[in-house]
Amino acid sequence: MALLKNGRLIQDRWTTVDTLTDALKPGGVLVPLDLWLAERDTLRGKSAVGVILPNDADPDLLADDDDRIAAIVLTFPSMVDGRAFSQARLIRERFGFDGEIRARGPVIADQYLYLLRCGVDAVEVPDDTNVESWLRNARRFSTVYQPAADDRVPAYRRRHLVAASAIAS
Amino acid sequence: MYVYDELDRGLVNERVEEFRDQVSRRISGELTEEQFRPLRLMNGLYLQLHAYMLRVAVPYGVLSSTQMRKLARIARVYDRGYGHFTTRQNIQFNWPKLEETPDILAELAEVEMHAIQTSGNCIRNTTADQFAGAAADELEDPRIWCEIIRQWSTFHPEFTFLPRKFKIAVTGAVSDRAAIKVHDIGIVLVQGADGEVGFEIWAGGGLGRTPMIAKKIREFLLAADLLSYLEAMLRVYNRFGRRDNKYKARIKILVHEIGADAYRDAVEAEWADIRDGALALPAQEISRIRKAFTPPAFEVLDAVSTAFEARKFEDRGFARWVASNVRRHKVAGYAIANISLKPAGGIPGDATAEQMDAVAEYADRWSFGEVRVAHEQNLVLPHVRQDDLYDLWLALGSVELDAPNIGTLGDIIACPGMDYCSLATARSIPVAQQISERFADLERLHDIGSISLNISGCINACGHHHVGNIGILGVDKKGEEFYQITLGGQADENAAIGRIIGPGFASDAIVDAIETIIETYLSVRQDGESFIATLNRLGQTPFKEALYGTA
Amino acid sequence: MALEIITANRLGDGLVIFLTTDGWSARIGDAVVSESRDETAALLARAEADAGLVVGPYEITVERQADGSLHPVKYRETLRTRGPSVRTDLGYQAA
Ligand code: HEM
Ligand code: SF4
Repeated sequence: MALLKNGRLIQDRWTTVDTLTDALKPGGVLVPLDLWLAERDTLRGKSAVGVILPNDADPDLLADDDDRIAAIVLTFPSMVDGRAFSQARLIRERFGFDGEIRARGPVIADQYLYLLRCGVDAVEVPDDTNVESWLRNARRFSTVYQPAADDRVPAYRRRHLVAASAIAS
Repeated sequence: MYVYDELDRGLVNERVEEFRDQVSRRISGELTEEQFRPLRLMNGLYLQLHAYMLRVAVPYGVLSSTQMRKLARIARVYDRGYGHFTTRQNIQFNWPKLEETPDILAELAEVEMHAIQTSGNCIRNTTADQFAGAAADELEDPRIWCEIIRQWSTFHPEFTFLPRKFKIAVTGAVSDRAAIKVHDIGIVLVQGADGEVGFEIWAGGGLGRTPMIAKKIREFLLAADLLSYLEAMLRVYNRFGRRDNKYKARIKILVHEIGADAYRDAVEAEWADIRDGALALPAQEISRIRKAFTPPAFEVLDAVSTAFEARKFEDRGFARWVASNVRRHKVAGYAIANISLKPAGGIPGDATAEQMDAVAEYADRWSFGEVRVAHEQNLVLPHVRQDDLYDLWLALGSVELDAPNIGTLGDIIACPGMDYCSLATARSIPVAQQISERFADLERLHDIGSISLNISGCINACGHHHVGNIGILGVDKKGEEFYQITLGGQADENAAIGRIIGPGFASDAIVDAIETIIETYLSVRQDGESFIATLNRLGQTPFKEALYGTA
Repeated sequence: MALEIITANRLGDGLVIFLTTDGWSARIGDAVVSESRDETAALLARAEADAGLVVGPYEITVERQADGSLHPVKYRETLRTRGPSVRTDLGYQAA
């Protein structure tokens, strides 16, 4: 698996681990939510910890830890199970988390725009992924109709910004 | 009507290119069918029994004459010369080729139409009162709010992979013609304490395997809060709706299982966090959209046209059509003309390309270029001068669109059933045809009066059988088509789910059974009493006894 | 065992097709007939391998008539070989 992040395919430097012993080894680790909740005090000293959030878990569980966690992994058991889209927005918009939010699971290029808009900034993808295809999908639409976790201005504001600036100039 | 600006237009064109790209990736093998299926569904492209089927959105049932002509052209050039108008105010083409659908979508985009989110587990086409902007009993035009919802829900990044499909309906009138209580979210425009227009919000209605009437979630919502409240409702559903079983994945099950109060509490808690956020619509945007639905330039006319009254007196056929198909308009001297797509023996909801072109022409001539699609699978010319009704009626007759049967037993709602649908357990169209033929006699039809009969070809209930005064559900019984009858359903403001009357009927007995029910009604009704009123007064017993004998 | 054949819809135009000895045909009469579970499984595997050309292959039960022609047992499948019963001018029945 590689990681698609900031428009590029990069090597994933994080390791997914299941036990506390492995979690305490050097290097970035991604730990299951349960392990994090049980051992957060032991793990808190470690700088590079990410938490894997099942898609039916309440993101609230991480709300107080967001400055101790470097990454949150959201899970997509299938491409059509969209619960993590809501989790991503809550984590980004409500808790103001600014670490990495990554998507794990069989999501496809055609969903990339939605992922980005909800605040996901990294996607685990197969090594042979056609990055251009993903990026094309991210750029495809020049208009958005609703505010989300990104900074795109929805049409209902853009229309009137244009009008207002036209009057001002 | 709402007219696209360059942002709307750009987006729809980009969508066409996206789908073109997806189709070519599917054909080249880059996408598997499993990956492609949700993508094509989100562009309304199904695979049915005989071929693909393309469902084109008719946003809240509103069509311009130009758009209607485009639908006619698509039927003619890319399909087999006809289309099927549905209970969701959309139109379906039954024979498009996958390779040509990007071209069809490109043609639709030219007239500001698309197939976006007409299928898939996303927010579908928002439906509305087909008389919006014309109805005499309307508080405000619901289309303003439908268009706002349409835009907000289009490519919503968070709500495109919901547990299940999601349908929103809006009405601005006292009589509910949009069946809002059998939708995932139903919205009623109401007046607040200070006279301002706001919304009453319902949730958790739906048909299908487990029919349910919606529960009231909020008494009054300020107009400016509409989108943040919807976002909270959808977010709670997306997070907590069931995904383990697709028959339990609709919001109705969530609302039912946790209870309306718990659902409301969760929504209100979520809403408290986002209410003052970016979703509050700028007043300029609301007024921009409101302006798009400014009423057309109605003439100042007398409330009663003597010419029109005289025509009715002279021509009984015309008088009959007026009595059943014409409704009161809010502007003096105008009328709402319903065009029945239910000729006796015909296929409910089907229209040929020629008929579509003709309706477009009549709309230009007599209805400010506007057409509506009703959820009863009929068309509507919303703004016709009473003085023009006679010419309209004659013209409709020339293309076999003058059936005077709106709201009668001839006005049957029927899904495509096994003649087209891959999910069907029985055919529904032939049953509709036989019933409408059996009751083709107009004297008898009008004597029976106001009644709804709805037919679905399987439990998914696309034909709304649960909410027909008489409902017919086609089932498979050891390889034979069998039909189950429910009585007592209603889709209006008194929405109710019909109850099964007894064992089902074979295909050669179902029409007789319906006739027995109707004859029973005629024999026991009181003066001027409608079918549903009689049924509600007497219960099912007399009908049951007539059908099955006194056991 | 009952006789079985494999059917699907063609990717490009969605029309109904049947697996033959060396490809696919719009005519049920051309279908290759299986008389055993193993044979059906092998045919299905062959059909699945054509995922780039066809959509959703599955097996259906058929009967051989006295004249040698094949007829599906289920009415749904009969409709697929013909077209809508309410529009006999459309589908294969119209040809
Ligand atoms: C021909 C292809 C069609 C397919 C595959 C299809 C599929 C379905 C399914 C699976 C459901 C049940 C959803 C559920 O219970 O969660 C459903 C419901 C529904 N469909 Fe269709 N349908 C088709 C055509 C139509 C047509 C032609 C209409 C309009 C005439 C329509 C309107 C509806 C409506 C109104 C419902 C019920 C609303 C509800 O479930 O709450 N569908 N459809
Ligand atoms: S009710 Fe059943 S048969 Fe009718 S269109 Fe819906 S899915 Fe098909």
